[in-house]
Order: sequence, then structure tokens, then C-alpha cells
Amino acid sequence: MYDQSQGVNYLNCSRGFWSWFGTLDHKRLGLMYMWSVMGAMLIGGVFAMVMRLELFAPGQQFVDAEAFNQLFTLHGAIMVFLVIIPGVPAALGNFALPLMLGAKDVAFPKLNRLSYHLWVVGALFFVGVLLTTGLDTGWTFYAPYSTLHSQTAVVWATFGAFFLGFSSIFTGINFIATIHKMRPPGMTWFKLPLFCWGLYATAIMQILATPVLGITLLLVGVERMLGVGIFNPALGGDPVLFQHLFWFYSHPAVYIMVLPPLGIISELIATYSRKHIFGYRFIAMSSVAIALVGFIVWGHHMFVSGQSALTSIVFSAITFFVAIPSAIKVFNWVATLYKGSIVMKAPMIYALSVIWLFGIGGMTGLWLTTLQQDIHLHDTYFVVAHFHYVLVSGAVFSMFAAAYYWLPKWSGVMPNKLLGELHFWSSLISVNLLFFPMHFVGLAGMPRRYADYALQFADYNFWISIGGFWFGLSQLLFLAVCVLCAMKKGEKAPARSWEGAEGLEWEVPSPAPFHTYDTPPVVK
Amino acid sequence: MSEQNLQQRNQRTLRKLLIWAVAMFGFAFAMVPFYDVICDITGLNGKTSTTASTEGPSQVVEDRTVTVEFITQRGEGVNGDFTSATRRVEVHPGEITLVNFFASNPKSSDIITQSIPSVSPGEAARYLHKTQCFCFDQQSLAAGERKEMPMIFYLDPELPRHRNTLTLSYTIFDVTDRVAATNK
Amino acid sequence: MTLLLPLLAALQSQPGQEGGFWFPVQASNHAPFYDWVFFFILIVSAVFLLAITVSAIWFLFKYHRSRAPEPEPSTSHSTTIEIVWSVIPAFLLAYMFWLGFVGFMDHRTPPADAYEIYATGRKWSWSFTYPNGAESEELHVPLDRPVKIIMGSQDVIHSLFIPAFRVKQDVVPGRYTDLWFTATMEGEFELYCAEYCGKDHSSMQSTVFVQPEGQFNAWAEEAADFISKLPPAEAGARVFKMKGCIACHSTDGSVITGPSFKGQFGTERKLADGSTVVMDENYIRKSILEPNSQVVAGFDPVMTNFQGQVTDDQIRVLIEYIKSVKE
Repeated sequence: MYDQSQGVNYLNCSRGFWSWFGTLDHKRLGLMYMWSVMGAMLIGGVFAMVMRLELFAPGQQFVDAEAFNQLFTLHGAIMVFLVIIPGVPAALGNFALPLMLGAKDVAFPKLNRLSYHLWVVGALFFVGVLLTTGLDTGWTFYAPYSTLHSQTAVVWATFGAFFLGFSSIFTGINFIATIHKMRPPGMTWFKLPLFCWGLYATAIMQILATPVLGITLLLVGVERMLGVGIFNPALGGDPVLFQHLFWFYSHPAVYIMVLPPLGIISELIATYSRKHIFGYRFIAMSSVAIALVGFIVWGHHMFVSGQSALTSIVFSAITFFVAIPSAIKVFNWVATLYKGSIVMKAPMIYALSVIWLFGIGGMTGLWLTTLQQDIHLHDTYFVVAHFHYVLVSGAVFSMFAAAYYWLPKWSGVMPNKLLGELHFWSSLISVNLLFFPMHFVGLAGMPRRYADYALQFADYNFWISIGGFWFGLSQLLFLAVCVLCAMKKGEKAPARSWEGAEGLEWEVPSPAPFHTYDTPPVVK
Repeated sequence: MSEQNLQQRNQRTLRKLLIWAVAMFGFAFAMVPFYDVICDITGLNGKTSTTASTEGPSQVVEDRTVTVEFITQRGEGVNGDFTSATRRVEVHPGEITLVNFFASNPKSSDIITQSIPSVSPGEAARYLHKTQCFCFDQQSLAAGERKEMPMIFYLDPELPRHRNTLTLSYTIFDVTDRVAATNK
Repeated sequence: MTLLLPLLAALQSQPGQEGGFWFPVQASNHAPFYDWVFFFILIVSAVFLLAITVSAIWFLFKYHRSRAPEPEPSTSHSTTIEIVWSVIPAFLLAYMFWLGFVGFMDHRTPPADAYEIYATGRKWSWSFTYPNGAESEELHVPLDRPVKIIMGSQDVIHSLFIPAFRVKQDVVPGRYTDLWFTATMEGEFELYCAEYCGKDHSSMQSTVFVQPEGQFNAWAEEAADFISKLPPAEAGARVFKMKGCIACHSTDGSVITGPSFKGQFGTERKLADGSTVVMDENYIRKSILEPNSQVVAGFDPVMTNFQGQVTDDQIRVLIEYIKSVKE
């Protein structure tokens, strides 16, 4: 089947800018997403570090309040729209999904390329915002601040997010069609790798929720430019409506960011325990359950917004339901370790740390959905700690795990073991130093999005900033691992790069050839 | 399974999924009026009707007294007074009551104002009927003018029994610029 | 267990005490129950996290490749186990929801006799208005008395947050929202804006002063004393509004329940009994204190008696105000 001459693969089969930028190959698109996402992550990360520099000590030192507001806005917007949402589905999913299904490519390669190009256009809008007046609405764009008061480039940013939304919708459509129609003979739904289940659940949400965000941001633009009263109370609008529309997308978006990474963790724990995953059906179904229930919990962001008490009570009750499928995943992961034969490779240690870190992030969610507890905690650093535990030490750590796992397939060389482990331990310690004390400042009452704070919060913030710089700098180690792989420096990777790895992606040589699976393999 | 066949099936799936996405765009657009309708019916956001209620009350429930409180707020850019004649009234459901509100314009130019009502608890909004209200229309205030603005309301006799206080708040906004902009 | 000890100690804390080692003090009626629920969830979470961590580490040790070269045969699914570990947390979650619901309803149900203070949020400061007309940038509240804060915003969404009281509520333009508490501890506490509202969001802070009722009333009286600070006519205009005169007497010439004051000062008024009286200082004073003794012809004797409700100073400035209402 792989009768290509030795040494020709998807990386070197053709050369030049257009052979990459105009490619229809899912592997090249996946790799380009990966580097683009890492570039965006670098920008977003630098913003975060400047913020931590300012918050190092109380008082104003490096940036004024106006600049600080722009920093946290762009940090949030870039990390959400440009990094985490495309990071797992578009970057990792593009590369891995067709290989895992033994398919030649995704169902619609041209649509896939369009998704990437739309991502680039969206990213350019954000860069445009950066270079012009900036953006100071917070990534949440709350009206009426965003529609009437902000003096910054809100319309540009909403256009950017609009393009990114289309990119995300098209990726979702592509993945659903691929999973539905291009599974190889013999791969029934319940033999589908769990990462694909995660991508599938995410794709549903991308298609159904993202349009709502697109429209919401369009309405913000319309109100800003034409002065119609949609959210503006003076013209009969309702600012709370904005929050409903916004969170209708943005809560499912959290699961868009989290479900595929959790799918990765399921894959990795089984692989490195050399066992079948415990409770496959329950894990698969828990992803779908989270995706569906995730649509009807958005109101838990609004317990103190002035929505009616009844609405809040209903949303609180439904939100507690999400805790159960999340807990099922964690319990099944631990059970998978039982009676295994565990190998501690870089992807595995990341996966194991995610069980614990995601556990913390999930549990702090319990306070936030408990109605009365949310009153004090809402919009404090406790919330910041909660979602960073879920999104950084949950989703981003899973991305690291996946990157170490698939790097041999991308590059043909094994990732550097020493650097990988150093990166892990350095990140693990610093991420906790960075985010754990945020729980305490939050409980003590420090609101989020504060450019300056009262004296009693100074000690905690000092350590948070130390953790922040340390965590930020640790990521240079990851960059080094990636660059080493890209330069082919390292041990040559065999087709089946990890012992115990059983997915179809390990049947093809490393790096993957340009044409993979012209005829689908048969799964027994 | 031929290549051709797969292509066709993929195209069908694509169309189905696109319909879903387009439907969700439509859904999001529809959310704006839909939210208004939901809120009109349930009063979830405390909005009251913006038009006069034409029917009168069917009866007056003499043996029941409900306290209605009034709160006035000034929106951005309004620096005149905006008050109600009374902080609270005690009414029987079905009883027609008049309350005067006052607004003044200390500026040296005429302004146009719009007042926005909001009822709390929101669920009670649909039991508050206004037969006349300054909030139905924009009110113009000449330079230095002090204006009395009447509001006539009655409570629906169907008001749930456990509800014995409701609060009606008005926020006054200066919409002069907006009006000027749309008239141009 | 050593980890849990400080938490257990915190569980037993009383109102007014330090609220555990990371909370602010418990300075309101809401705080003790709030902190109790917090530590309840903390202990449940800690037990689960500990169980997960210990079993994961134990498995990692026991089934490491060096000790277990090959995986042992074991079942890969068990519906019974799945149901057990779904249902047990479900009960705990239901109880958490219930606790949250009870606490929330208490937060959302202010007592009917609560002392009412109006708060206005604007970029980037707070202002508080008290029933006697006093206004302040800091919030002053009496000790041990339910206080209801009625809030509105002049521009964007703000959020009033008092950590020591465990209360927070968004302040939304175009509608009003409220929150309530009973301060249970004397002292000064921080008040923040918790909803991002633009440039100086982080400086939109204020202070809550909790004083025993007597001291609070003295403060409120002093703060309401605008009479000595403002020009008399202006102070009179405020009294005119505050005391509700405005409900029945217009200043633009229109007739409501009572006569208008526009341009009336110094003129001769015809009374119901046919006699006439000059509207001067004495007439106004008498009309406020014995309102229905000399009613102007054409009006009903329905005015409330203000004897004991207005001070001499207030009457003095009211007269100045009425004098000033000419055109």
C-alpha cells in the first residue's frame, strides 16, 4: 500500500509557500493550525505575563488601567477564539481524525482549507485591533459597555470573531460528515476511538452554538454603528439579553474546548496502561451527555445579573447534572490503571496530571453552581482560578500530552525525553503556584479584571506572578521540543512509535506519507 | 462502495449539516424578538407593556391591599430632577390609581426624554396594567421646564395571592441626540 | 487529616469571628451559613480528590511496568460500578443544590421592615441616598438591623460587592436590583465593583461603615444637614422634594391637589370662608403646621399635618424656596 519511494512524506512531497498555504492535505493543514495556534498562544501568553508584571505589587507600576484593560481583553479573546477553540479540534483533530479512521482525508478537503483561511482572516482582524485602538470590552463584550461606551475597535474585533466562528462551524461540519460517512468497514460506533467521540460531541456544539455567537456579535456591531436599541436600555433594549445570547454560545464553547482534550486523556491512559479503557460506553456517552446538557446551562453565568430568581434556580439544578458525566470520566480513568502495566512516558505523565488538575477545576465548579456560593464568588479571582484550572491545566495540558504523543507521527522523530520531562515538572509546579493561590484571593474578595488591588491581597499576588513568569518561561521548553522535532533532531520514530499504541494512525509510517489509506483498512 | 458514491453521500450530509447551521443563525436572530415575547408573557425581565391597556379592570377586590412602590432613576446625561410624587401607594387590585411623576430640565436647551419602566418581581409585570403612562411616548422638556407626568395604572385582580408588594421603577434617558439623528 | 483540621475549626466559627483562614471576617447575617456551606462542599470535594489521588498513585506504584510486566486480565466494564459511582455523587450534588437554594432564597428575600438605602453606580463611583435625604459616597449602615440596598446604574453594568457580608448583585441600567443584609459587626469593610465597567473599574471602590443604631442615626442627621451648607432656596428645593410637597403643589402654575406656588409669595389669597390673607412667612409656617386652618378657596382641606415632622430650619428654607419660585 505504501509504495512511495523512501523518504517521501507529507512534509517534503512538495515545496514552497503555496504548496502549503494552498494545500488540501489534512495533515499539512493540521500542522499549519498547530504553528499558527502556537503563535497566537505566544502573543496571548505575553499579554498575560505583562498583566502579572503589573499585578506583581499593588499600585501602578508598568501599565496604566487603560492598557491593563486592553491586555486582559486581548489575552482572553486570543486564548479563547484563536488558541483553545481551534487548538484541539482544528489542529490536533485535523491531523489525527482521518488517520484514526483510516480515511484518505476529511470529508471535504476544500472546506477544510477554507476553515483555515477564515481562521487566518479572523486572526488578522485581531492583529488589526491590536495595532489600531485596541479593545477594552473584556472578551465577553458585555453590553451596554461594548455597544455605547467603549472607545476601542469593537466592530473590528466582532468581525474577526465572526470569521473565526465560520471557521469553527465549517470544521464541525467536516468532522461530523467524516465520522458519519468515512469510518472504515468494521469500525462500528462503539469501536470509534474516544478522541473521535470527543471531536464528534464538539462538532455538534460548533454547528449549533457558534451561529448564535456570530449573530450576537453582529448585533453588537449593528447597535454600535446604527444606534438601534437591542441591548441599549434607553431605546427599549435589554442588556441582560446580551448575556443570554452570549452565554448560549460561550458555555457550550467551554465544552468545545474541553471534550476533545478529555478524549485524548482517555486514549492515552488506556494506551500507556496497555489495557482497554474501562467503561468505554460510559465515557463515550458522557461526552455526548455533556454536549447536550451543556446547551441548557448557560444561565449559571448570570446568577447575580438580575435575571429572575426562578431562572437561576432552574439553571443551577441543570448545571449540577453536568458534574455527573464529568465525574464518570475521572473515575473510569483511574479504574483503567487498575491491573494494567503502566509506562510513564511524557504523554502519560501529562495525562495523569490532567486527571488531578481537571479534578480540581471541576470541583471548584461545584461552588460556582451552588446558587448561594456563587453570590460571593462570582466575578472574583476564584472564578479565574476555576476556569484556568479547567482550560489551562485541563485542556492545554491535554494538548501537550497529545502533542508529545503524536509528534513522532508528525515529524518522524521522537520528542526529546529529557526536555519533555523537564517541561512537565516545571509546568506542573508553576501552574499550581500560578492558579492555586487565586482561589484564596478570590475568597478574600478580590474581583477579577482589576488593574490594581488593595494591600491585603499583595502577598498572594506576589506568588501568583512568580508562578506566572515561571509557567510562561517553562513553555519555551515545549517550543524547544517542537523545534527539535521539526529539525529532525532526535531518535528516529518507527511507524508504531509507542508500545501499546493501537489506533490506525500507527499503521502508517512516521512521518505520515502524503497519501494515506487510499483504500480503507478493515477493522476486526 | 465506490468513490463516486461516497462523494454523493458526503454531499448529502454536508447539506443537512449546513441546514442545521443556517437554522441556528435564524434561531439566534429570532431570539431577539422571541426574548421580548417571552418576557412579555412571563415578565421575566420586568418589562411592562409599552402600549396602553385598553380594557378596564373587571372588578375591584376590596378585601385585598397591595403595596406598589415607585423608584426613579436617572440615566446617563440626565441632570435634572426625576421623582415620583409618592414613594408608595396602597391599592386594591382592580382599583384605578393615578401617580404623578416629575421631571425637570435645568439645561438651557430643550431635551427629549424617554422613560423605561421595569417591574420587580418580574413575574408580577404582567399583572400591572397601565392605561396612561408618560413612558409610552417620548417626552420633550423645554429649557428650564419642570413637567408633571401622570401615570395611571391598575393591578390585575388575578394577581397571585402571595404577592403583596411590587416595585415599579422608571429610568429616564435623554434621547435628544438619537431623535435628532433619526430625523435627519 | 491534618489538612482538614483548620477547616473543621472554621466550621464552628460564630458570626463576627474571623471566617476561617482565607475568608474575610463574617460581618453579616449571611456569612455564617455561607461559610458553613463552603466548607461542607470543600470537605466533600477534598474526600473525593483524596480518594482519586490515593488510588491513582497506588495503582501507578503497584501496576508499574517494573512490577507488572504484563497487564493482568480484568473486566473492561461494569454497569454496576458505573451506576454506583454516578448515584452516590448525585445524592451529594442534590444536597449541595438544596443548600445553595436555601441560602439563595434567603439572600433574595429581604425582610419587609428593612431600612432602605438607594445606591447609584456610575463610571466610576458609588453614591448612596438615605431615607432622610442624606447622600454619601461611602455606605453607612446601622448595626443589627436589616438593610435593603436598592440599586440602579446611570451608564453601564456595575456590581456591588461587599466581601465581608458575602453579598453581591449586578447593577443594571434600565432596571433596578436589590440586595439585603444585616450587619452583625461594627467596623469598616470594603466595597467593590465586581463587574467590569471600563477604565477605572478597579478604583470603583468604597467603604462600608457599620455603626450602632444611635451613632448611625446621628451620622445620618449630620449628613442630611444640607441646610447649613447650601444656599437657602436650594436647600428648600430639596426639602420640598424630600417631604413630598411636590406631590400636591406645583411650581409651574398648574393646579394639582393644592395650589401652585408659582409667583404666589406676597400676594393676597382668598380663603374658603371668604376672608383674605397675605401669603407671607407666617402664613406658610402656619399652613405647614396647622394645614387646614386657612384653606384657600376652591381647595379641599386634605393636607397632611406636618407638625413635628419638619424642623424650624426646614421651614425657613422652604419659605426661601417658595419666595424664589416666580417665573
